[in-house]
Amino acid sequence: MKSEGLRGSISIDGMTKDDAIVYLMRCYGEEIKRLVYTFVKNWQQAEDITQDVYIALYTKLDTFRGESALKSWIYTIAINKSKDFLKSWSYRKLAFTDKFTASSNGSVDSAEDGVVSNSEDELLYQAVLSLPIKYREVILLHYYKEFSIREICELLKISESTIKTRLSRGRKVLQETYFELGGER
Amino acid sequence: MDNQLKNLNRTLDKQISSTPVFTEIDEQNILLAIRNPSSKKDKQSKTKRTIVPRFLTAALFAGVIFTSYTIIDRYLTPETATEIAVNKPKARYAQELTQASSMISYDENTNILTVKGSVKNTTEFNSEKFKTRITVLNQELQASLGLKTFDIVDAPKKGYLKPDEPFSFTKEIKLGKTISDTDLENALQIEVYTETKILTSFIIDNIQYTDIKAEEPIAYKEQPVVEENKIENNEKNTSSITEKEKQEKTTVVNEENPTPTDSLDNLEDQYGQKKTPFNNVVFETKGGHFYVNGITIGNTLDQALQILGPYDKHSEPALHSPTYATWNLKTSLEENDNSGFFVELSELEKESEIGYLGYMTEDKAFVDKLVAQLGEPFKEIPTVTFFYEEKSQQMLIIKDEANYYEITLQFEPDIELYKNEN
Repeated sequence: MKSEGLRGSISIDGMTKDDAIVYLMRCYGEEIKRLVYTFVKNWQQAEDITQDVYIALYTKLDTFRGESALKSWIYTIAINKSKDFLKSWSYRKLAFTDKFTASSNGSVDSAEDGVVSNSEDELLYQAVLSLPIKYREVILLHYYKEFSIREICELLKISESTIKTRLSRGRKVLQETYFELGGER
Repeated sequence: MDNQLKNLNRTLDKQISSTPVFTEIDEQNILLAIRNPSSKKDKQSKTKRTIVPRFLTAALFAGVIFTSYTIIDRYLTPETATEIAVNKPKARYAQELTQASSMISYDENTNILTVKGSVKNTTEFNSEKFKTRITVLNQELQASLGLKTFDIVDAPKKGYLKPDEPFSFTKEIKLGKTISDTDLENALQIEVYTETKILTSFIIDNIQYTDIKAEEPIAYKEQPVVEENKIENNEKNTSSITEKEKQEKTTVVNEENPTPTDSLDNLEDQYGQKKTPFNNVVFETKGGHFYVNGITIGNTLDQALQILGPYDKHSEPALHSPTYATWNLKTSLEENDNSGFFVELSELEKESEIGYLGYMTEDKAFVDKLVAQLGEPFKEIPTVTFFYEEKSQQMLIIKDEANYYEITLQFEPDIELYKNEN
């Protein structure tokens, strides 16, 4: 199914703030939480960040001007919050602790990882999530969320040529990682 | 991979969770947090209470105390004590050397293994006197040599390197028994060391293996070519490059015999006949920009066509996602043929700006000449050389893909990425 793009036809004109936020949760809650998870790779954090996204939306709803589409606005907030978290000290500490715990306990998969499977889809999923964030975000937005390059430029505020370069390199890195994990050539 | 990427939406959704992840509980939690912001604040203040602020405060106090102590020590010490202090100049030496190049070559006909390498002192200090040794990591090779390590007799003239001075060494060894090409992979480690430390160490990954049948290095072995035309082209390439090398100093030209195009999609109606026969590829540097056959990134498609004339549309599924139209300027339309010159555009519109130029060639002489022409690279790693023009923020990347070279020109405003990447 092709994505509706950033210029979705959803409107909150005439709604109260409370009604609008409930409406936006029902429209975008599922996809935002999934997107955030692909950035932070942790359900607890994904839940917290999704909550933060909607709180930010609620507090800024008065300032929202219809010039930019709602979907673009929500995605921008979600991406920025996810990246802020990845840069934060608490994430780095968590990542370090997880790494340390994993190495001392052997390679035990977390509950979120689910059952270990070597299917092609599982390998591709692992390969995508293991990409460095600068490549992962463009691959996810383009192939997972099916945004065009121009739309990704708007969301990430970087130039079209940089997006193209990162997509091109991201694909190469993804392919290499996929093969390294045991994917079929 | 392209097909898998097309279905990434379905694949990821399935892998992330087959059931909805955003439930009514999430909705209720969000509404609760909105209506009762203090609970959220409390939570945040609890989670953010880390050791860092305390550590920074302690560090600040320690800094203040240390600075106070230093100031008191300096100004309250009797002057005589200062005079007694002996002014000993400290000798400083380069703490590390940089690998410049290295290669292992082995000839099965003569059973001789040749190890070549060079290092460079890229620091601003002289190095200490050093020695060089080779450690054999592969067991088959160890058995054939009868040694685990051996020393390189070659040394710099004065025993040390001045700033920017390179040092090259060569070691030829007759082996006890023959080895295979896989025995040379990650087989030899070079260590340059002083009495107290190792200045550099690296594993040689550039391997040239000549077997009895081939009687020429595999690394330079040409791919079997089906078409007779191609063999002729390659021969002409080599000979024409050699002749041109004598004549041209500022540009590098790769010549190919033009092959007829299959279709021109009525572009000739708009832009006339092809203005460049495209039997040669010219790289130039002018005014802080790289140019390939007179065009550069940032030109529009229309400008490129005005300069080059019309060429065929062609997509390369092996290299690019089909969602990107690739405007291939190569005259041949052979599917899956990676060699050639192409321009990548996201949309085939006249005003679309070219964001990416690429050229692939198997001609090593052409690439060597181009590298020499472009001068000091911005960065060099074993198989990739980067050239950068700061003014235009253009990056020219020459990548050795083992059996061919890929030369790409792209806009790169963020060179920090390259500084960090190995």
